[in-house]
Amino acid sequence: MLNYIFVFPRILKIGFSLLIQKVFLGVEQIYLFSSLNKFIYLIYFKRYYIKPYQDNKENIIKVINKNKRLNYLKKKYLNIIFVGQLIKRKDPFLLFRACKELNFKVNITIVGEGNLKKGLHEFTKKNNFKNTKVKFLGTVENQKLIKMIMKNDVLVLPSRFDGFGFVVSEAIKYGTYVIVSSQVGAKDLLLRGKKGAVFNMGSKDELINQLNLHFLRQQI
Amino acid sequence: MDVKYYLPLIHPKRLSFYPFIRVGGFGLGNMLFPFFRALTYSVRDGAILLYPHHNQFQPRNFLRNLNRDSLRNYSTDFQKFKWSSLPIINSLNIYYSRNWENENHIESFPNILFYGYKNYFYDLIDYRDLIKNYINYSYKISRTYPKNKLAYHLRLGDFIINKQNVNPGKVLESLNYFTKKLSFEVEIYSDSSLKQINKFLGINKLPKKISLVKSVSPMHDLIKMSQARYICGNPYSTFVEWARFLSFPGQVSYSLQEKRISDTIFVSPIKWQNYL
Repeated sequence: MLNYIFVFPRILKIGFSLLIQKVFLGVEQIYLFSSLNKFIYLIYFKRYYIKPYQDNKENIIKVINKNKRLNYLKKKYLNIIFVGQLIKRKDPFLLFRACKELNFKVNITIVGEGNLKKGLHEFTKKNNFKNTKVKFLGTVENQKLIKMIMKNDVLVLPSRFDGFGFVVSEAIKYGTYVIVSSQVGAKDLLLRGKKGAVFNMGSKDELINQLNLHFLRQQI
Repeated sequence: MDVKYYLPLIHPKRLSFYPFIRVGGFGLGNMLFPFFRALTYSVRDGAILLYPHHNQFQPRNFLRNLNRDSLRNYSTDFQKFKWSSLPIINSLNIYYSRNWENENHIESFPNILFYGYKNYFYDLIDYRDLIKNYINYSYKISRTYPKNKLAYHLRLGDFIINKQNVNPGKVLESLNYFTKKLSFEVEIYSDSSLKQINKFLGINKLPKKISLVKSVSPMHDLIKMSQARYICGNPYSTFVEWARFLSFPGQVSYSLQEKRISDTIFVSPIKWQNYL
């Protein structure tokens, strides 16, 4: 990210400043060698301060857009998708309990139907998730499902037992990271953790750890 | 792939009971190496990170200074990193139920112990942004502009015993250079008190434009140093190297060792820009 731009007032035109605004969105400070063109910056930067020019390096006029004081994080939330029947064997509750304890924002998309759907709805209402948004989509067509898997950051399959879990191979095919329990057969597809991670079946803390680490993985 | 567990520990064979207590300890700079190595490799390999810290008890430092502050064990600093690792009790269970020493276990239990402090940045440099973001997120630091000051790291304590310290004449000379010639405002970060610094430098009080920063915790010092526009320190200290590693692009560095000596210290691929 570019941190500073030195701008010479004589060559500065409105078009040039527009270019600066468009191209260097991450610019933190703009140094002017005189205050001649400060009005241009009034247009583009809502908040700034000016120091009068002196023959001293420290007193170069600064126009600082304070609105750009963003967090360092590249991505501040995690999009999680769960695909499968909402039944005890698939253990969707574990995912919900884990997401409840995460410190960052989470969007969960649930694809599938089952007898636990009502319980999951109640769980979200009861626990008043602060950082979590949950969408229940029911059954979804294959084409649409693929698009949804691609849109999300991570597919979580916390099953108590799953012979293979074909949705894992689909997620890997389309480049979505996968977190599965140790009782999912498709864990063997996750070569050295490059495509996904495994946690011990039923361990909420390990799932939380894997979600936290994936949140970090997104910052690279 | 099976469940993988990674654990950073410095020399586990010493007197210690993971994850509760360890007798004898290292400085924060040295402890951060195995921790970030384990963390970044966990992120890379999809492994679960175990609780990364012992409470250290450092009798040697305490006996040397007879000062309670010398007993610092960095637990408060590591508490901030707790969110990214397994809780203590789970970590304890896993640690004592697995074999960590013998590499033959890798097939059945893919767990790796990151031990030995291996104080270099060469394998961490690719993860520099990740580590910076991680620290800022853990300490809830929002993006700030670099402070227009010079952070001066003056390490005494063990450096005097190991004869790695810079002599007082050179320290005073460099401080004069910064304040008088370059007109910088200097903030000193040190492991010693103002009284000890004055005694070391043979002065009664610090010159104008120079102040000693009151330390909240070593990690906070490290973060503040990384936010300074200019930094000066002894390249033998991994603490100051960590501050440079975490710095914003464009920080200007001044080494207290001459180039000939600095070039023989293979700690960081980030070169010092100026030599005093």
